[in-house]
Amino acid sequence: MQEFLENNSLYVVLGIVLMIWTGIIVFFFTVDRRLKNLEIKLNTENSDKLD
Amino acid sequence: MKALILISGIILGLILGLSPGILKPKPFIWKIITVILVTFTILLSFIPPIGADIETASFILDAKPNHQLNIKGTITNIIVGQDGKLIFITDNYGKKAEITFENTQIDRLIKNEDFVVLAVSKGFSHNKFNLLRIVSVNPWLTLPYVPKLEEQIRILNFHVPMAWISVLAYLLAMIFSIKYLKTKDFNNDVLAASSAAIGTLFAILATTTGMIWAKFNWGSFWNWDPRETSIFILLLIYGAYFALRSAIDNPELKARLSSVYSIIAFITVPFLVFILPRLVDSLHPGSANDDTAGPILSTKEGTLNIFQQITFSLGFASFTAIFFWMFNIWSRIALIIHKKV
Repeated sequence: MQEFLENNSLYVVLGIVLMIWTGIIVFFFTVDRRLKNLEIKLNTENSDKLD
Repeated sequence: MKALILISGIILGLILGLSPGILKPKPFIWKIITVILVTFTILLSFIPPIGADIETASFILDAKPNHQLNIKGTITNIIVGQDGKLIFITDNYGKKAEITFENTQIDRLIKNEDFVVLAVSKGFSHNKFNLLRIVSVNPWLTLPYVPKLEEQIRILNFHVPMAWISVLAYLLAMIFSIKYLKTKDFNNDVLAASSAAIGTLFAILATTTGMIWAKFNWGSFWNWDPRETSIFILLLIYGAYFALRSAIDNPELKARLSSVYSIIAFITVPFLVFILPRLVDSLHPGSANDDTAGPILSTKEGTLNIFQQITFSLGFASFTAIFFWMFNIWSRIALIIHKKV
């Protein structure tokens, strides 16, 4: 494996790119979920104020 | 055909990106499809080995004897004797090549009828090479060797879609600016600013990736090439847009002036991105002095093949979807901040 990666360094780059991409996916999903919760909270607060 | 594949990728990205609505939260399945599309783009850009046909390899190595490159072909014979260690391969065009090798382990890794991609250097005559190492044996897919671009062509699936996203984002900024001027609804101004911000982010990413590529293809990070100059001017134009927005305190005046500026600024985008770099001689592929009309659309041999065009098109679809996801999140946050302030 070590020898294969030394001869095919492109796969090392691929591994790093996939790791970064995984981090971006987790970040996107987390921000999207938090934003959705915030929107629900703000809508509830607004409707409470109107009542 | 190539143009059709390219347009299909853009349309797929737009359909995916615009559903179920620009500001509506994206459903879970939508996010999964986008993640899969981007992951496939990454895998298909990195995994397939690049290999030249024999005639191209001979031509390149005759011109640059110290160069190393990959060739591909089917093995017709392997000879391991005391005097000679030879591999004979035939490529898709029926051309034959003779490859000498030193390492006796190699003949155990490959056999007759195998389709191989081999890293080689120039041999002692035309169509004769020295084997450096085996890159791949019977790969599922291979990418064509495009002279001048070589291994660096893998950047194509990321760099070009990023530049496309900046154009799309600036177009959306202009559309929302027109909507603001028509309706005086501040939400449209917020959306225009969000779109321009993401467009600028992608323009900076396209410039940065292009600079890294230029270092290894042209010798230095920045060459004042027409394509580099035009994206630099574009960044200055949209930098001025954000300077204008931050310089005005009156929200109504800020929205009105920046909307007018955004509309005028977009008029320069097609000229700076699509027209000017093709009118003048340049180092960048697709310029006026490029005899292949650029590797993306050229039908000449040795430019992009259909498989590479499909992965390129997939890059457009996935980056467009990612852009709409970013725009969705960015705009919803900007709207909350706008309402609170």
